[in-house]
Amino acid sequence: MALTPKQNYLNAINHKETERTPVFPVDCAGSGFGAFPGPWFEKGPMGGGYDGFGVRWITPASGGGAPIPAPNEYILDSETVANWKNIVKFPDLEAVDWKAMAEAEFQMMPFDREQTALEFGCGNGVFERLAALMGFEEALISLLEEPEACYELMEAITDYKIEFAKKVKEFYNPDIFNNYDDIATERGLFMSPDTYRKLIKPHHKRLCAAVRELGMIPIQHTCGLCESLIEDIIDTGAAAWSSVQPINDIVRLQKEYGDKIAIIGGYNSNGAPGRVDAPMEVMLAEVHRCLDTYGQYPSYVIFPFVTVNSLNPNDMLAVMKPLLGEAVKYSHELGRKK
Amino acid sequence: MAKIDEVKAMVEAGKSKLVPGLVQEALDEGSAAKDILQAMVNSMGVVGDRFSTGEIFVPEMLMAAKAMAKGVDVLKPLMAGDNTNSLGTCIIGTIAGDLHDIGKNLVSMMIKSAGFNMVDLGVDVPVTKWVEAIKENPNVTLVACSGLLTTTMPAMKEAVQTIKGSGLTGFKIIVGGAPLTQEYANEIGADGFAPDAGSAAVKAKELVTA
Repeated sequence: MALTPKQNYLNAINHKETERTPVFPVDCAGSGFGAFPGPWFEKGPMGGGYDGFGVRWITPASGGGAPIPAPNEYILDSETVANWKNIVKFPDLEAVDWKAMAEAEFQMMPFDREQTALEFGCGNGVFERLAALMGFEEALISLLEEPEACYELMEAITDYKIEFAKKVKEFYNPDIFNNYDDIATERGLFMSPDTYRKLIKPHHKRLCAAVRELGMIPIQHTCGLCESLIEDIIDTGAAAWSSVQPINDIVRLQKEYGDKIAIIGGYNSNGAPGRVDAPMEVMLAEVHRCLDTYGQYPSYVIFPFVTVNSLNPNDMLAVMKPLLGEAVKYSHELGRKK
Repeated sequence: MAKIDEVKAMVEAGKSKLVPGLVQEALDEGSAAKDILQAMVNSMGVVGDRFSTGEIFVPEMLMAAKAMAKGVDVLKPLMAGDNTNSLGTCIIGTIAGDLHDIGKNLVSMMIKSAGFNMVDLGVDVPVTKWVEAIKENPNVTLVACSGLLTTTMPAMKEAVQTIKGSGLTGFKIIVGGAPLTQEYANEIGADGFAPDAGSAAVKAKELVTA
């Protein structure tokens, strides 16, 4: 019997048999951050503004409207982080109208739960939240100068995230909970593997365990050259690593770890296929490259993504639609080659 | 070990609390301020190389830069008006439309450590502001344009070509950022490209002293 797109998608994540390479976000709908800016108390309201921690977010067109913390408006630094308990205020999750928030999202992006999986993107993982509170430089200095304070603060953030995940389960009931926490750049990790393992990984692991306990599949999002931590990401319990960019040796990862972790991504959004002047044939060829190269391995989900210099969602759709359409079409053509 | 060598080692190790005292001790021992400064510059060269090869990471690099900055604070009163160690003024900023500053800040820190006086234009720098800044600042030897996003690469091209077309001379232009490559830098007419903050400092010195 043919699998539904949802079954096919979740089979890929769970290392079961699939009929073709699944496509995100077609076979799996997105909610929360990624699909939208996400809950206002995490990255500010749509169009920018203050989140529930007191951090102001802006949404430049150059990033396609994706929110970033307003530069130089931070509420902590490496001198004050030891006093974080008196400075950092957490949002009151009980005061949020979760029902209304979820309903509004589902109205904007309706989907069939029988046919399509659902992912909830939880922005601002522990390191990203640290950087949102302090700026990157002070956050990175603090990891070295005040490791105990940073660990405690990230532990408190994880406690909050677990309560957040409970609400997500209750009001969104997604199949997948994606912990967005960029810990690397195009060139490499922000921090040493040792610093990550001591200060950040334990929190990722605890959140993954809590998400599983709640009946959702935990996945880890991080952009950048992060392959040196693949065994750690697996150890945290993440079922997949999302947005794996080809700066990583994806084929090697698939060969060596493909039975332990699913790979979502592959599209070269920082290279020629991601440029604003990239011809459509170059972008479509990149979709084919991903499916031809990575799609021959199981537990791979293609995720074409290009940033568009616009705040109009229709401009983003105009670029993404042909890419996603081609991904679905070619994925069906290829099927599941043994 | 001579105190100046201890200064060098502690800057490399990022010991910002120890460096000011050691700098004073090196001065007391008879080392010239400009020699101590050069020792710290050399330390940051080592730090930059270690960063570029992946031996150390951004936090360690930041700590070393912080240590050097604390050491320079001790030397400043003694070196006021002395530009012997200076490689000139570097104008740096993130390109128009791009509000990311981490890459620019790291490169600025490393280029400053290499011996440049920095003028930081911030983020989202309009094309015209680059030219104004070059005119307004003395002894500009380098212009460094940073960009993180593929969507602002056209703005990078416009900035470089506007600066080149301004008729102003005496400086080189270096570009960098996640989506950039040497090929793109060549395509838009930049004089240099660096893939990371450590090699940016090396390239900056190379461009200016060639």
